[in-house]
Amino acid sequence: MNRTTPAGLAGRYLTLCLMLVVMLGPIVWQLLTSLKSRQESVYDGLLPSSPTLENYSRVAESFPLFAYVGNTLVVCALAVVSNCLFASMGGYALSRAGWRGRQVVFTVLVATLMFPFESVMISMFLTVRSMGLADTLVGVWLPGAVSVLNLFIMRAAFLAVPREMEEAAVLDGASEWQRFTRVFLPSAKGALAVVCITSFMGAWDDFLWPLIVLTNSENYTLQLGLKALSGSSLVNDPRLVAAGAIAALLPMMLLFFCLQRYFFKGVGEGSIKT
Amino acid sequence: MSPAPRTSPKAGRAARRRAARAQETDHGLVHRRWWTPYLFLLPGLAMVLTFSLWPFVNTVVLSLTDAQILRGGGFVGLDNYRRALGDPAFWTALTNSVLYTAVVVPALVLMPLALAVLVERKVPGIGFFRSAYYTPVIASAVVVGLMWQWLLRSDGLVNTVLVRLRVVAEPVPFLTDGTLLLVSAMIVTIWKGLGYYMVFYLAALGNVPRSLHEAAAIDGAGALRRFLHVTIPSVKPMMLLVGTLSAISALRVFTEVYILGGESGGPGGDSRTLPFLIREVGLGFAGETGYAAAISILLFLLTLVFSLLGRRLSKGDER
Amino acid sequence: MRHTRGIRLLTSGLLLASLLATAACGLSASGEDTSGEPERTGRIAGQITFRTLQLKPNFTEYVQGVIDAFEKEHPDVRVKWEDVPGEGYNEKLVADAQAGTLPDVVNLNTDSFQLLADRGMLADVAALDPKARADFVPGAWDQYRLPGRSGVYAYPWYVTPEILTFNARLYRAAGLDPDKPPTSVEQYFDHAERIADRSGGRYAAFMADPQGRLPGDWQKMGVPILDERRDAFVFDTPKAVEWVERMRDLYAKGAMPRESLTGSQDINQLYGSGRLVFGPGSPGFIKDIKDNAPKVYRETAVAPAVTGKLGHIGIYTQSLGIRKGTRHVDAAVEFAKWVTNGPNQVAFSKAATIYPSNSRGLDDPYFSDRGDGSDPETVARVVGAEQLREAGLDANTPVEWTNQVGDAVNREMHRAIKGDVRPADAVRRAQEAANRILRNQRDR
Repeated sequence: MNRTTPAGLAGRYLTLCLMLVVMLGPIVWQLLTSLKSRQESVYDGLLPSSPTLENYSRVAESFPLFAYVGNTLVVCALAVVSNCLFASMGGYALSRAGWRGRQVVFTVLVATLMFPFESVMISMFLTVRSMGLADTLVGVWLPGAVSVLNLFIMRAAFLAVPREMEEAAVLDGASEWQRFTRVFLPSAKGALAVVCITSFMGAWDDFLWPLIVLTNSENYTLQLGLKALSGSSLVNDPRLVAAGAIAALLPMMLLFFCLQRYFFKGVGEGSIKT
Repeated sequence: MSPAPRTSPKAGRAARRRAARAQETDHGLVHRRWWTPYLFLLPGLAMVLTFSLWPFVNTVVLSLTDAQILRGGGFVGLDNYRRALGDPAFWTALTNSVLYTAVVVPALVLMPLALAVLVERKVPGIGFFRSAYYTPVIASAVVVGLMWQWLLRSDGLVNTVLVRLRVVAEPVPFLTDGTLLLVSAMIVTIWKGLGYYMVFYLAALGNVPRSLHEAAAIDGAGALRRFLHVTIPSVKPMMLLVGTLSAISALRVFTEVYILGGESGGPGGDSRTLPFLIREVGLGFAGETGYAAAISILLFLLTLVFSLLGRRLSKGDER
Repeated sequence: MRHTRGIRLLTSGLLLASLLATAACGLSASGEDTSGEPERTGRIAGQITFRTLQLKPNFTEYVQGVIDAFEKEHPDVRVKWEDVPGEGYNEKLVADAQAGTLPDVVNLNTDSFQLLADRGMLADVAALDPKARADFVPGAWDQYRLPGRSGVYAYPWYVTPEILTFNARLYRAAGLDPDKPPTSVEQYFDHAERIADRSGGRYAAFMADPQGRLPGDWQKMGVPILDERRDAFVFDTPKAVEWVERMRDLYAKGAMPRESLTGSQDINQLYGSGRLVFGPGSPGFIKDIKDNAPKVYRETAVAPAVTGKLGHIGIYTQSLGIRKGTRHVDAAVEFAKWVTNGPNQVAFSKAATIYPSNSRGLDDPYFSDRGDGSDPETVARVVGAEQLREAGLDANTPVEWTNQVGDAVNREMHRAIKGDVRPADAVRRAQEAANRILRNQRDR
């Protein structure tokens, strides 16, 4: 398995690079647009003729990028923590057989999975408001604090934990909570990583819900801020929009780049296996 | 799924594992008070009840009324459902949604797996590639739309190449033909899903014991056979999960159709999906909240059918 | 197992019960107080909220300046400014209206004005401020009346008039004279045909987008949209069919970018890269082109909009509505008046490429100075202002032509322009669909 011919390696990189072109297209496009100066046309040609960072400083001036990123990260962090914790707890319960009402709970959960957000948005807003959480980041986070999807991801992972491991723990006299934290959680690291990513992305990407909840622009998340930059009926500068998007994206990519090795290392030890 | 001869060692192993798993799925536990599972589920369930179930009930009630946006309505029984079933736009949207799911799900179950296998090996710089493949997930819809239009429009890159190579005589109407537009939107969905589900598979691939691959290699199995007989069986639960997730997102698709086909949902509205229709009916000045709710419920029923189908499929496979 | 079934039954029973017992939200009309008209007390004080549509970060300085000056004038008033991005603006308004938390003074576009006013959520500003009418250009004020009611439900704010912009170089290349741009829809089509014949497929004449062209094009051709009593659409006429036929033929000839049919293509992109002769018809666009495509900007010419049989353009203003249930009526009214007064609107026009709806504002020399006539932006400003002075409401899209009607008509037009359906059939079907929607809305 570890034999690699130079030709094989070259082929591998060729494929990797080919995929790169396909996948990176829009980001590279935005990057190039963001480097175009005000003297040249945004619409002609791909490459900037006289690259400039001016657009980035313009964005920085008019736009509290760091505050927005900060707000977004708060929501993301809350979402990641709550999802990892609550979804694994709930997923654990769902994965254990033989308790009353399991089928009902399961059906209810499946039922709620599938609703177009627009049709439940207003009633969600009324609830959040009645809790006094309108215009707060907590209000943005709360409805997504445990997503049903993540419950199912964790449930699938726990189902796959070999029975012998659990039985051994029971024989050792471990309580339910101990079995959960010492046996099950460690063997579901891979699934936890996936939950981390899905909940982070969910919080990062969300636009309509934060818009409904937040009114004070100091509380705005990044997506809201970026939307304010882009194509209004009065001003429309693709360079600025691109610069804002890239500036917002770079930290994300860096984070992912730095974390991915841990992710996949940790994943290797965990098990979502059969 | 695997037509491998029973004599092959890896197939035997896979079968044994499958049998073991079928047992595992239903094990109960010894020491337990009935409410323990609820304690574990409490935070999750509370959240779900408040933010999902309550709106769900709400939608069911609304679907039985003629409520309009910001205007109360009266009980009309099943009128909205009757109206939907007699509405050609509903049937078009239903067909489109089903078609969408039928194409996108298999593609998103298999292609990201191939991509994950490609980037699984730790060659220098692989971290960069992994991160880069993830970027379509975070790219803004507007830019994604612009890029794909630039590729697919009648004087776009794809058509220019096709016409130059004389594959086609006339540009292919990717974006102005109802069906082709739907196909184009599917391509965008698949493209966006590649990196996302790749991460799921990477997580699963990490768990395939290396020894399995080595044993297969010693048996003289080529890369393709190893992929089919070792990799696929080992990541099967993940494939099921990805199938479920991608089915759900395929049934909810809106953005891709919108950015490629405009607010009408393609020429003549022929490429509208169910969520597209729900938005169109429910929002705006004369938004018919009640009717939109009814279509939401019908969409939900459709999902239920799909998920039952999925469960049947996965169960049938395990026995 | 029997236990589980029992619980399952019980739970579904409970579910059903709760389902029947709950008055679902969305059923109760809204949380807004829509009972009586507010009355003025004469005391200008309190904290009011002011919501604008996507003015941050580009016009932060201007808006904040207006607010600060107002607070200086009225020290007992605090104005809390919220700015919301354009995307999702209406959804947020609806959520707020439902929750009873509409802002006291709120920036509305045509759609959101109709929605809130029709549901009785906006105060009658004509009653609160009887003298205001005289301040605005004719038509602007009347735009905020509602059919069948006596009041006026918003202050007109800024305006973006319609003008004609085109790439003079490409125009000339097609053998047309940039000094003689089209003035009727028919001429516009003739010119487009000529452009399509000469362009060799390198550029197109205009965007197909029936959604954007109707009902304006029909009105300009003299097609009646509604009958006298305004309770039925009557646009199914030979003229309208002729319009579809010409669109179909021009589309087949390549006079329009193929993908522009569904309105998903970016007109700025097309015009800015020299692949389109007629640009979008608003002065603000000229500024975008100046910033984003300097070369094409220099080739851009400006003329009065095509007005055909009407002879004048319509008037579409942004407006400021006052929440009916506001606790500080006086402060809200005074503030809305302040924002829409002449000087403040002129200052805004200088910061953005827009026009005042305030008649005194439009008299500012800024709107009549053509410069040396060579700078498209300056010329556009004067052309726009000239057209605005003669604008009339009859060129507006009728209120009855809602988004839903537009959508239905649009879909039929797509099919006909692509050549899948006969134009006469498409127009007939469009009218039937439109009338069905109208009846449905009127029934309630």
